[in-house]
Amino acid sequence: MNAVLEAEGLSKRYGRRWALTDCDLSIPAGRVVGLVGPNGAGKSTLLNMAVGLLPPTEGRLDVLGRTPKAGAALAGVGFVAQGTPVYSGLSVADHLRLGKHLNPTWDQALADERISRLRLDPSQKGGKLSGGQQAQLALTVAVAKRPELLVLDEPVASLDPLARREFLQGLMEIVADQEVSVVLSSHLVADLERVCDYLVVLVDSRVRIAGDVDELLATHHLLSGPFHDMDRLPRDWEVIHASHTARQSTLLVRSDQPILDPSWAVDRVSMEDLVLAYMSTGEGTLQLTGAER
Amino acid sequence: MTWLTWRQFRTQALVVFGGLALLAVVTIITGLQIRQLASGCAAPTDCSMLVGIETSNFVWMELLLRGATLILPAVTGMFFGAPLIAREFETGTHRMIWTQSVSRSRWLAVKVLVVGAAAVLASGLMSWMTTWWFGPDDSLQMDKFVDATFGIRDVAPMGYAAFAFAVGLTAGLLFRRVLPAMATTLVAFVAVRMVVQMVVRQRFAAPLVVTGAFTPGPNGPKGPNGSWIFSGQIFDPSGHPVRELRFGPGDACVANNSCLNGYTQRFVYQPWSRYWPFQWTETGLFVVLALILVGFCFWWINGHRLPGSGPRVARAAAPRAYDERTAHDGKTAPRGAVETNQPRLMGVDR
Amino acid sequence: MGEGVIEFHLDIRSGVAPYRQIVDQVRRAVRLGLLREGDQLPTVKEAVGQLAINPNTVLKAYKELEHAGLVSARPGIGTFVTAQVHDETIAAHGPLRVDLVRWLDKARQAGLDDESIEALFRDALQEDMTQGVA
Repeated sequence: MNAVLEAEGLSKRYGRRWALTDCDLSIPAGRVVGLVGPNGAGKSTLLNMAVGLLPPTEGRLDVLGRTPKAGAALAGVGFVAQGTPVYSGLSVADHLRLGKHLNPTWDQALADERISRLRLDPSQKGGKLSGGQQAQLALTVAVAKRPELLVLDEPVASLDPLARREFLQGLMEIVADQEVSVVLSSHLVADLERVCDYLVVLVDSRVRIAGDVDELLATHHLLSGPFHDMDRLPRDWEVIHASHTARQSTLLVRSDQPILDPSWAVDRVSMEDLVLAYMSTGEGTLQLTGAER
Repeated sequence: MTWLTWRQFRTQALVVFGGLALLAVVTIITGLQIRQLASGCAAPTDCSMLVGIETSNFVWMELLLRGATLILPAVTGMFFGAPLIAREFETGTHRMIWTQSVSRSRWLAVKVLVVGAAAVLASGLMSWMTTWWFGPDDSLQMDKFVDATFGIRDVAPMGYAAFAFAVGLTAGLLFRRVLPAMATTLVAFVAVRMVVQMVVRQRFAAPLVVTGAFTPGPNGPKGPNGSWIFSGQIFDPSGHPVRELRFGPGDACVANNSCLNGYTQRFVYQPWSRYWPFQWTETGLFVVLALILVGFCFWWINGHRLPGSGPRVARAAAPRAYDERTAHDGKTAPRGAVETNQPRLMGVDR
Repeated sequence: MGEGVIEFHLDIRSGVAPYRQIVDQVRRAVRLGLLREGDQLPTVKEAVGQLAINPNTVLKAYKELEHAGLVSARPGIGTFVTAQVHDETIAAHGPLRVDLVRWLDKARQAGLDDESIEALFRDALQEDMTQGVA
């Protein structure tokens, strides 16, 4: 399978500030990819670059095998921007007509079916829709051109829990229906936990970890046990996060092998703990709860 | 794309052209009345007085037409041009529209052609109405060439409209907010328009000079008919410039009407025959300025890269594995200043 | 006909993998008689539309159920229940249980605590399943 998104040494600078530093990514097709990280980490920058709205400062970025640029090169990419902007003066039906006129691969039947299933009034102006409805409309416009890749920049951040759930339900139905890869960003891990099977953690302008969720969860372990000297740990363990008291050590460790050392209590790691650990600086009082029983 | 442009432009277009239509009705009615009066008068002298009176009877119409023709280019510049791109940035919809399968150049081209042409057309129609309405008055007064009138007749307003639209477009692109763009458009347009009117226009061609015997007119020496007069001076028989000529009953020359003998006058002027060449030159000047600005907008909107200066690829080595374990290798220090023979790339959007 | 006979629910915090929860819910429904032979499971689209989870999760669950002989997939139509839970399988439980208790003793003597035992068991089960499906 080809990669839908490939980045090599990708960097973006605004004035003095580096919004993205040296990112290397190779995201495979057919996944629902979660791009997670704190606010200001660079998620929006990366996604806006992926759809040709920002040029890179350094490095290379290929999306569906091409440099992202407005026009034909983006025919296979659907984008929902942060805040899901819609035209407040245009009606729902007008938005669909916009999509039809500007995209050769537009599927009007799909758009109409979605609109009627969402019970949106085609004559209602975009400015009069609720936040959740605007998000659904923006998603419809992005999806009805039958893209190979859907990119969504924090699509549910400002939605209430019900609207959020409905948006994700709709999105997953689309994934079930069409052969489409999805990249969506969020600073809330809980949203991504349900839907993503591939994870990219972006912190402070850098990619900290990227990979299949199943593989990441299988190879990360939460260990707790009596105080251990960090130098005495097995060599093939990669300690992502460690915290110690006088008597106890708690580690989040990456290792391909199962942990069979009886002096450690081993817990599986939840996606949230994993992301939190990579977002921390390595030492400290981060409380990891592990996957609950 | 044409559909979308019209759909977004609909309201503004209807307001402006609807207003023009209403104005046209009033213009036609009153203009025909004036022409009727003008055709009915017997002698030329009767006519000029009559038409002048009639025209000033319609003084509100006069003001309306002159005012509207004067401000319409600025209005369309501010309301057609400034929001065109700025509104998209302000509402964030540029992120939707520029990720459809249409290139930014095509998107901008259609918008500029449709909306820009509408701006030019509006001022063209306005100017046409005004020129027609003032027709009888203009042909009698022969004062179309003066500063105050030149810019609200014939073709010049179309040039202004094109330029104001282009200024609005550029301001909207650079400021990305509608209100600042509109304000800047107004200020910049008025400034350029005034500079051209007061300083540049008179330099389109070297003015002519004519001297001759002093001929009195209604407000001093009578200059060449219809021309744009820069300066007129009276000289006494010995060649000295005089400012005033006053003769009273006590003067001897009054008896035989020879007071003005030997006085000469000298005018520096642009002849009436140059009126149309000047109209086209001024229009052409503003159109060229407009095209330059529009060209700049196309360049800017496409990432304003200079040729050959794409992003540097920092390394030529093979790509690293995507899940390389670089979590805590300490490389979190921010990058230092980079070389700068590359122009600073500012995102078209943030 | 688009409505499934059962609806799934998901406890994301339970520590049990989502696909396993679906498998367990189907098994339980069959055992309780809520799902009978010939009943159609929710389509993948229906299931994800309700749960807002990745379609691959549902696919994985359905595949395992099919591998266990509980359901069969008819391409283009849906996934249907094929079997009841047989008594023979319950009969096999007794001896299996005895073996298991014996193994547990051995594991404890080797020093493994509960978590390590569970980890070891899950690891072996995972390996067995991937070998079975491959």
